[in-house]
Amino acid sequence: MDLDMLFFLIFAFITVAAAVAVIFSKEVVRSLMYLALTFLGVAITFIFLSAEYVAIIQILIYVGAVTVLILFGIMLTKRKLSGGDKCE
Amino acid sequence: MDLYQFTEGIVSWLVGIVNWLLNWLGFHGLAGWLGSPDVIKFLTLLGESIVLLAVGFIVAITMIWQERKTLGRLMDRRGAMVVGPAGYFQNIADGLKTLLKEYIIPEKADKTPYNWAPVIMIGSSILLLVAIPLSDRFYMTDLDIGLLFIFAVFSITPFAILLGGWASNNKYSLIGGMRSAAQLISYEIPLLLSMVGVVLLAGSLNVGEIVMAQENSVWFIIPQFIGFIVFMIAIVAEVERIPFDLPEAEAELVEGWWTEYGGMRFGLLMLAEYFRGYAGAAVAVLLFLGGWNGPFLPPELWFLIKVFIVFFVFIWLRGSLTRVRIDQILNIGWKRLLPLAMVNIVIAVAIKTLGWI
Repeated sequence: MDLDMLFFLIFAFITVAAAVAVIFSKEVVRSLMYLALTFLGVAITFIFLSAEYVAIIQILIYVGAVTVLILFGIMLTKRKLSGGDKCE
Repeated sequence: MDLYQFTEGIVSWLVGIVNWLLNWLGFHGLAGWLGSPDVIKFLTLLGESIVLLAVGFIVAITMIWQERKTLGRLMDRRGAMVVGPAGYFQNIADGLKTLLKEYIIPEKADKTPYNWAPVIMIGSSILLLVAIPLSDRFYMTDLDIGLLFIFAVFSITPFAILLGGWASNNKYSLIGGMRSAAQLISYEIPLLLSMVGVVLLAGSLNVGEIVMAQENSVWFIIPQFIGFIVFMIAIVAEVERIPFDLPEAEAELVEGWWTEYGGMRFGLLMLAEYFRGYAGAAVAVLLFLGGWNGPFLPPELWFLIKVFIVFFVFIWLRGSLTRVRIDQILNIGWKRLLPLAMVNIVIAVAIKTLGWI
């Protein structure tokens, strides 16, 4: 098998697994981490398609801005940590 | 001869010696596999990354030393001076000390994000070094969109900071993380806009071509002076140094978002900070100060000299200014720097249209 193909399959598997983990993880922040990983995986897929510009923009906007926006949203709403104590 | 060919030469020589040994011992198959071009290419890339990391590490260590000495002089004392020549090895001693510290995780912290935040931080900081060329022969990659790559990697850090601040489960960390994310996001815009003028004048996002354009005309600090000022202010905010170091404000927030980090994690975060300082100074040099151009000395040395001069300006700011308030910092970012960056773009377009450069 081609080496490019092998690496593509590895990264595609990571991306899909992270996307599934976004849905199934119990902690909201943890699913957000997986979401960031998914975005990075998509960026890597764009590099495999030799669309480097789109990949960089994907990182700049999605990982740099959208994830931070969602993280702000999560932190500014009240929730409980897994231990039961209220998080600040 | 560029860095790749140089490393390839060394790697081929080493592989030749190992192959001779393996053949002498009778492992002919292994020797053949080791000598194949793909393996040599892989090993060369590995060697190149090690060289690049070593350069970045030495520059970061030197920057910490420079900061200690210069700041000491600005405060009328002498700075580190006991360990090694002029106290140069003090940083290495401090690094070793952080290695020996206990590995504490706060009980109420959210473990996984807490552990991953420094990893993302130091990883993205080291990734910055990949896109920074020291000269036209000493580089790792020659990306067409190298400049955009640098800022994309810069934009990952607010995520790590916010994550670390949240996961520590501490008021001060959280406030520091929030401040940091707000500041980084609002200063990214003037930073990118002040860069646009240079990109327009050079007609490329490739770092090497921008430096070439400056070699053929003038350093872009002259036609883009407003842009340079905006860029310097924004990059100081982006690497969180003193007039804008609200995320770490020692006096009010203890150490901001890394209050709860101790031991080697703290050491890594500190190192990441200086890696980013190096990257910021290097981008300023590449965009506005003519990159590695200069007479007599080799280009790599010129580049590093300019980087240290820019970093001296950072230290100077740190020594003479006090911290601004969070609302002031956001006001400066949105109401002053953003219009100035726009004016700068207009100037760049005018210069380009009139054909002066």
